[in-house]
Amino acid sequence: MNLVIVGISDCRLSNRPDDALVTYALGSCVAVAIHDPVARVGGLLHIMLPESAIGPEKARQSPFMFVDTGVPLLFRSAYELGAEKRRLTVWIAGGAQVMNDNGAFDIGRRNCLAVRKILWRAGVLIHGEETGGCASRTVRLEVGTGRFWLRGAGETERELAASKRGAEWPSRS
Amino acid sequence: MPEGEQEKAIAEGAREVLETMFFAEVLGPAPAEAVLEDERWVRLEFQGNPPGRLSVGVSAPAARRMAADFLGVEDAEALSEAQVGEVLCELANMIGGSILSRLESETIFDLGRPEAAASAPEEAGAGVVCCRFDLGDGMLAVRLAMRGG
Amino acid sequence: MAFAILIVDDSPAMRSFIRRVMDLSGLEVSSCLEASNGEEALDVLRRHWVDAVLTDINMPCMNGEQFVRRLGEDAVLKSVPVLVVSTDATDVRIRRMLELGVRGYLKKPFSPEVLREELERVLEGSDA
Repeated sequence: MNLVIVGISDCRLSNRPDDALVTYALGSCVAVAIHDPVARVGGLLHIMLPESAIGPEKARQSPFMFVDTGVPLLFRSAYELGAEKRRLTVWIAGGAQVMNDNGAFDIGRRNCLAVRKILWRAGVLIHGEETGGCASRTVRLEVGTGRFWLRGAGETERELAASKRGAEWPSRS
Repeated sequence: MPEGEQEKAIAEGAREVLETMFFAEVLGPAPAEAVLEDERWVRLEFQGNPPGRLSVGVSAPAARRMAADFLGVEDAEALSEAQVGEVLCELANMIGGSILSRLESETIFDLGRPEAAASAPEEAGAGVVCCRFDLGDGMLAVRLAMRGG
Repeated sequence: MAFAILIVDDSPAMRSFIRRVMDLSGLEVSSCLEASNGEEALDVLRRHWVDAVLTDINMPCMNGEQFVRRLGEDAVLKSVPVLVVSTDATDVRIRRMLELGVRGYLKKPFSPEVLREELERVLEGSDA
């Protein structure tokens, strides 16, 4: 497998089946991974901050740094490679709280909210999510298979399935 | 009820609703001197143990932005006043449920129908708890008045 | 296999939210019917078959608990799976709705993804 490394404030796409897109050290940053199993196109974005309004010039130079400029560009780039919105599987990971100051610099939570909002507004549901907590994460998307792998600090790698947070499933006695 | 329990329930309840379905962050308590301007209020009565009234107020520009985010609409200005009002009613309904579930988990409570209020609530004094939150582009106020016990 | 769903909630905003999740879910929903309380919902069900019902609890005229109780009294309607979607998450209410045979209980607020997963689970278990 050919590893394609995605840096901080970076984004990579591929339609080569042997490629795996990987990004490391997701602390408060959020990774957005998308995959079209029919076109066999995958994309991985590593975002640092929620809103480009704090630095419009910076956003022009480095659009993948911000949620509101990076996410649309990720999707548009995937469409250019033949991906279709309705076929896309989407994962998000990261958004940990890395500064211990009672949430005053809670960039992780803000990044997660911004990503979830922009995806909802764009009409895209999330297939799998692992966000929050305090630990750094590494994620990997296999372009050929569409499998998404995640590893927390000190853990072994595991595949990320669809999340099931929040539902009250009544247990029958 | 231990002191501070209602404030805690309001803060946790409001944050949970705003983050989960409105994708909005609560930046923290609003500054004490801040005034809720150009606001929209919704109130609802609830039956429970004890019964009471909940009022939720939002600065108008923030209310419109939140309604667009809830409905997944890109252009907030395209929403009608009625649509914004309907979303605010549901916001109040969910904040009410979220708070009361934290305070009255052992007993049934019935939330009444949320209704737009022409002005800010007047109740004040003992038994009324009011919390205000900074939304960045406006303020959210939650006023909880529980009757008797 | 395309599904017909009935959404019962007195909030037009919440019905819009749920409808949007269904549209984006990838589930084949052939029709999405709506009612704003239990009485209206029963009227819809007299005229349309549905594969699942999503219902709120706190509604005027006939609340969700009364509505589900009425479904259970009908020889045909009692087999329609019901997912409760409500702000009320008290132990007492959940227990009462379980005893009435609901297939799931989703507490508001919920993310779009959690709603989709619960819908998939309820529809997969349906007899349709």
